[in-house]
Amino acid sequence: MVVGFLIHSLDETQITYFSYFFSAHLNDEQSTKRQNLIISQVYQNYDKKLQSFDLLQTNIENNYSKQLMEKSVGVGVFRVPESSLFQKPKVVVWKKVLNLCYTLILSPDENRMAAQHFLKFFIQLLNEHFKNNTISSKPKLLLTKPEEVLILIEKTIPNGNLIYANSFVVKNLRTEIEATILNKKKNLKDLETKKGIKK
Amino acid sequence: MSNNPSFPFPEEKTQKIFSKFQLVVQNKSQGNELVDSLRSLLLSYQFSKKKPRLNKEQKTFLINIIKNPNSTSIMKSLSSYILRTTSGYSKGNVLQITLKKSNGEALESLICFLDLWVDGRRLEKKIPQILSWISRDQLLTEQIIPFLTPILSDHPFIFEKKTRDAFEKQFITCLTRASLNSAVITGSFWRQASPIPVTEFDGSKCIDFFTVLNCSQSYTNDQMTNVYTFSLLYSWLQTLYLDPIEKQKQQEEEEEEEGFGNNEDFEKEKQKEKGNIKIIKMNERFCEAILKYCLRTLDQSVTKISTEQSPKEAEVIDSNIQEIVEMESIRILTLICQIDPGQIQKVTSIIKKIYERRKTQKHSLHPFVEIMNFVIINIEQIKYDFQPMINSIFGEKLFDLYYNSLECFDLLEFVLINRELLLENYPSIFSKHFLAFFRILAWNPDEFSLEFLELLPTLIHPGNYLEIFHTLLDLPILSLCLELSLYKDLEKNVDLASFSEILNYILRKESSSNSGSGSGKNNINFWDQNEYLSALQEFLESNKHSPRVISCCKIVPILLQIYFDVLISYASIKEIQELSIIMFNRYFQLFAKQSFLNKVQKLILEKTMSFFAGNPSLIFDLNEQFISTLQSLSPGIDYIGKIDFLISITWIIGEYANKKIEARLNNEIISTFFSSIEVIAFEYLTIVEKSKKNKKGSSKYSMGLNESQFQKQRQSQSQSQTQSQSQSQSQSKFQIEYENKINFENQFLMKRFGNKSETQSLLKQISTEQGKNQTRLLITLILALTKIASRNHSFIQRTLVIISKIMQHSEKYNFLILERAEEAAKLLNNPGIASLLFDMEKSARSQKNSYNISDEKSSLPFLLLENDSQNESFHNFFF
Repeated sequence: MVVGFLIHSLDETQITYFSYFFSAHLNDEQSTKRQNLIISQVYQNYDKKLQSFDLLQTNIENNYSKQLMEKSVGVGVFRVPESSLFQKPKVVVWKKVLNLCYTLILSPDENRMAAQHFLKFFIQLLNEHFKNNTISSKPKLLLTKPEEVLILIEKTIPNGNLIYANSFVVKNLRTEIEATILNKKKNLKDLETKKGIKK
Repeated sequence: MSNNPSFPFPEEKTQKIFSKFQLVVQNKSQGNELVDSLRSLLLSYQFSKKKPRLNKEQKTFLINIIKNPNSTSIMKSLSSYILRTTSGYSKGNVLQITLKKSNGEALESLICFLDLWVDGRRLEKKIPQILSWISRDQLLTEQIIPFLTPILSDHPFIFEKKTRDAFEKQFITCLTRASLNSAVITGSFWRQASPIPVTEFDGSKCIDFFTVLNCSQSYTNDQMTNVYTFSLLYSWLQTLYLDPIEKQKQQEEEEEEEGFGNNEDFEKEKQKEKGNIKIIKMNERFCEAILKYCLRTLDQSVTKISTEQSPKEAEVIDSNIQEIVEMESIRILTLICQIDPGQIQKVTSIIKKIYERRKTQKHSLHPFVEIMNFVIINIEQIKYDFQPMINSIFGEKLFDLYYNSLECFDLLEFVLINRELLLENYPSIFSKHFLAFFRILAWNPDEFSLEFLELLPTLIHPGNYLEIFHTLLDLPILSLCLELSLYKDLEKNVDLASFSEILNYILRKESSSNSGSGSGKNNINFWDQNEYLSALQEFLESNKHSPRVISCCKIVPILLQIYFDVLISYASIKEIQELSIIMFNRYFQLFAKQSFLNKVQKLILEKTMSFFAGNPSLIFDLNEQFISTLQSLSPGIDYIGKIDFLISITWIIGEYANKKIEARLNNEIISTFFSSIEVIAFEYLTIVEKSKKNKKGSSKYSMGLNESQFQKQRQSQSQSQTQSQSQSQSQSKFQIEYENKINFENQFLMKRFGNKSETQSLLKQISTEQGKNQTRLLITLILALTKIASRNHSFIQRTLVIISKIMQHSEKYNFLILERAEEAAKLLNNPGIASLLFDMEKSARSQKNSYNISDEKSSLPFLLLENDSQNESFHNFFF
C-alpha cells in the first residue's frame, strides 16, 4: 500500500508542495515531521549522487555510461526503519523531474516496480493536464490549482492503491480526470448563475 | 490566491485564511467563494508551520459539502482532503458526525471516510451495510474496493470469516466476469455508438475473460473494479491468510525454544493464544479464481504489443506493465502456495516455464527476484535445479546492475528476508558471489547502508573472512574504481594502463578465495606488492574523492565493528591468529583519508586487544610477527597511528609475555621481546632529548612506507643492543638517518595529502598531539619493561639503566613520566614485591573464542557452523 505521496523540491529549501497521507494514523500532529524526515533523506541521497556525478561527468568519455549515470542520479529507493514517527518500517521510492521530486512512501511488501511505473504515468498525466511538459520546473504554477493536483492523485492512487495501469487505463484516467475537473467548472458556472438569478 | 506564495506561510496569513473560512461557514457560501476559501485552507495546511485545528461547526460544514449532491467534485475533494489531513488529530470525531447523519442519506458520504476510521470496532458494525451496498451496486463496489487496502492495513480483525467470504464472493465476480465490451460512448444525437470489444495487446479480440492486461477503449465500472481488485489481492492474501499462519509458526518456534512443554499452565495459555490466531482455510472457489486470473495474466505478459493499436509512448507503458503484472502475478502465486501448499506442484510448472522463457531475454532483475523468492520458499517441494539461475543472477547480472538502485534494493531485500533459507540451500550466493554485494554497497553507500549492516554477518565464512577484511578496508578504493570504470574505457585508456592490474583486481568478479583452499590466503594484498604500490599511490592521488567515496569511508568502521563482532564470537584461534597478522599488515596500508585512517586504526587496535583478552596464547603464536613489526617501524618518525600502534603492542607484550600465561614462551622469545622494547625506549629517549635541545628542529612525521633499507639497519642495531658501546653507536647512527629522512617524509606527506595547506594543517594537528602521545608511549614502554623484568630478574639492571637515563635529564620529561619511572625503579629495587605484582598467573579468561571449527574449508558462514562449546548451531543474525 502507498501510505504517503509527496511532491517537493530537491534543493536546500526542501519545500513540500504537496503531501498526501493515506492512513488516518499518519495524519496526526507528527505528519509534518514525518514528511520532513523523508524529504531530507531523499535530498541527502540525491545530493550525494549529484555531486559524485558532477565530479565525474566532465571526464565521461562513453555516452552510454553518461546516460546510465544521469538516469541513476534522478531516481532512488531506501528503507525507513521503525521509529517513533513510523510504527512499521517503510520503503521510499523517489523520482526527480526538473525542479521537483515525486516521492512515494510504501509499505515494505508493496510492488516497488509498480510504484516506479506509477511515478512515470503520474508525471505524464500531470504534464498533459497542465499542457506543459516542463510543469515540474514551475512548481508554483501547480499551487495555483492545487485542487486539480488533488483530483489527479485521488484518481491515480485511489486510497493508496497502486493501479496496474496499461496505456488504455491511463487514457481512461486522463478522460475521467478531465471530466471531473470540467464538471466542476460547469457546476460552478451553474451555481454562479443560480446565485445571480436569486440576487 | 497569490501566484507567488511564500514558504512557510506567516502565522498572520494562516489566521486570515481561517477567519475567511469561518465567514464562509457562517454565510454557507457557495461557488467560487467557497472553492477559493477551501483552496486557501488546503495551502495553509501544506505551508503553515502550526497546523490550525477545525472546530465542530467547520467540520460539519465540510461534511455537508461532501454529502451535498450539488457540490462539485472539486469541492468534495478539497473538503475531504482537509478533513483527512486533520483526521489523526480528531481521532474519529469526523466519523462520529458522519455516522449520526448518514442514516438514510447519501451513502457516498460514508464511503469518503471509510479509511479514516481510527476506531476499527465502530467500522466493524457498519460492515453488513457496506456488504449490502457492494452486492447490489456496481458503482459503489468500484468506489469501495480501493478503501479496503487502508482498512486491511489498519483494522484487519474486521474481516472475520463471514465478512471475508462475502467480500471474496464479490471479488470472484469482479475478477472473472468483467464486461468484454468497452463502455458505450454516446455518439451523435441521432444514434448510439455500438459497443467496441475489448482487445489483447496484439490487437486481437479478447475471447477469454477480462484482466488488467486487456485493452478497453472506454472502461466500464466492472472493468475498473477488475483492475482495483487485482491491485488489492496481494495485501488481502498477505494480511488475512499469510500473516496469521506466520504468526502461529513464530509462536510455535518460540514455544519450542522455551521448552515449557510439561507445564500445565503453559499448555493452557498456549491453547488460549492459539484460539486468538484464527487461521482460516482459503475458499476454494476464490483460490481457483485467483489462480485462473494469474495464469491468464502470465500468458498475456508475453503478448506482442501491436504498434497499430498503441502509439510509441503507449507501447513503452504497455511493455512495462506486462513485466510488472507478471511480477505481481508471481508474487500472488507464491502467497497462494504458502497458504495452500497443495498448489505448489501446479504453480511450479508455471514458474519453470516463465523462467525458461525469461532467461534468454534481456530483462530487468525484478521478475527473477520473484521467481527466486518462489523457489526458495518452496525449496523442499520443488525438484528442479535452480543453481544455474543463481549463478547467472549473482555471478553475472548483479555485477553489471550496481548502478540501478531499484533492482539492487529488491535483490537485497530478497536476500535479507530469505537469508537463512539461502544459506542452507544456495550458500554459494554468499561464499562465492559476495563481491557483487560489496560492489552494490560501494556504489550506493548511503542508500543501502542499513541493508548491508544486516547482511554482512551472513557473508563472512571461514573460506572468505580474510578476503572480506581486505575488501572492507578497500571499499573506498572499490568505489573510486567503479566510478573510473564507468567514465573511462578501461581497456583502451592509455592513462590507466599503469593502474590496470590494480583496477582489474579490485573490480574482479570472482573471489580469490575460490581459487584455492582454506581461508582465502590466495587473495592478493596489493598493498604488499611493491610493483603495485607506487602505481596505487599515484592512482589515489590523481583522483578526487567524490561524496560517494567519502560515504564509503564513513560506513567502513561501522561494518568493521560488525565484522570483528562475528569473528570474536565465532572464529577459532587459528583464524584469529591469521586475521591478527593481516590486521598488523593492513594497519598502515589504508586509504589515505585522515578521518578514515584514524577510525579504522583505532578499531584495529581495540580489536587486537579484544583478541588477546580472549586468547592470551596468541602472544606465542604471533611472537615473530610482533618482533618483526616492532623492528620494522622507523624510529622517531610518526606515521599516522604509529604511536598508538606501538603503545598497544608494547602493552600487550608487557601484559602477556609471561610463562605462567603461555607455557610455550621460552627465555629466548621473552628476551627478544625485551630487547625490541628496550631499543624503542632508547630511541624515544633520544628523540625527546634532541627535540628539547633543538626546538627549531624540523618536522619529523612520515607515512613511513618503503622502509626496507631502514629496516635492515634496525635489525643490526637490535642485535648489538646488549652492549652499551654499540648502543651509543646505533643511537648516533639513528640520529643521522633520522635527519636525512625528514625531507623525504615531508615530501611524501605532501604527495599523499595533496595541497600544501592541507599538509601544513595536518602537521600542526600532529604536532599538538605529539607531546601527549610521546608521554603515553614512554609510560607504556617503562611499564612493559618493568613487567617483563619483574618476571625475569636478569632484565632488572637493563631496565634501571633506562630509568636512570630519564631521571638524569628529569627537566626534559613530563612529570607523569617521571612519576612512573620513579615507581618502576622503586619496584625493581624490591624484586620480590615486583614479582608479586606482575608475575601472577592469570585466570583463564573467556573461553568462548577457543572452540574449533571442524571443517575449515566449509562454505558455511561462521553463523551457521556448529559451535561445540556452546552447542549453538545458529546465530540470531543480529549484531
